[in-house]
Amino acid sequence: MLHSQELHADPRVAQAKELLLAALHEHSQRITEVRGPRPELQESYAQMLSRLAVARGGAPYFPYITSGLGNGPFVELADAASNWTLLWESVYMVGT
Amino acid sequence: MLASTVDASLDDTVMQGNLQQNSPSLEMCERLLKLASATGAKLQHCLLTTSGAMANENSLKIAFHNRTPATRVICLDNCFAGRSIALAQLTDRPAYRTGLPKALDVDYILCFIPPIPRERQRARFQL
Repeated sequence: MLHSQELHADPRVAQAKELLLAALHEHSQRITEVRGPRPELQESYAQMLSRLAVARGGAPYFPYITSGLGNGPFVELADAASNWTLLWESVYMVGT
Repeated sequence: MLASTVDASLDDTVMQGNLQQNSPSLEMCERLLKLASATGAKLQHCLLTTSGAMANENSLKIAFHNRTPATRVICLDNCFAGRSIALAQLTDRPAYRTGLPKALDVDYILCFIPPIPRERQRARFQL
């Protein structure tokens, strides 16, 4: 067996993957509906959009920066709002 | 690198792209711009793409937008720009274009690259 194959077969790797998936599933399940932003994050979110416009040389088509976490059709934005993902055919299946 | 990959994966559970930006892409753009300007490049903006070929494709589009109605591209001889249909036209390897339709008009100029002093060959960048 190759060393890399032994690494992939190491039970600690399987356990680490299980733990990560369980944590991801647990936290993503809390995003269940469309909701508005948290007031305390609105200013920082506006600043992020401004910084993105400067870095890209133009504002994004949608004023939309995700936090990276979602659940089915819902996406958490960086201001804690949650919204529908814009591209339905590209919804990721969390935990599968 | 493994830890970074895990963090990146946890930040990548939703559709992301040009229309749906994510926080790390903003951080990456700003870090790249800071690095570029630190070495003197006059680069003020950053566009993240999935490959060098896609970066070159977008650069070509921006150049053509800016130089309308120009339709020809000047390339350095022996250059390599990529293998997409447009970039295979630029890449100075006629064999790569076998069977492909002509996409762009390209003119090649000689490229002289002076020897790089040994002390500059070991330049390193930290991200």
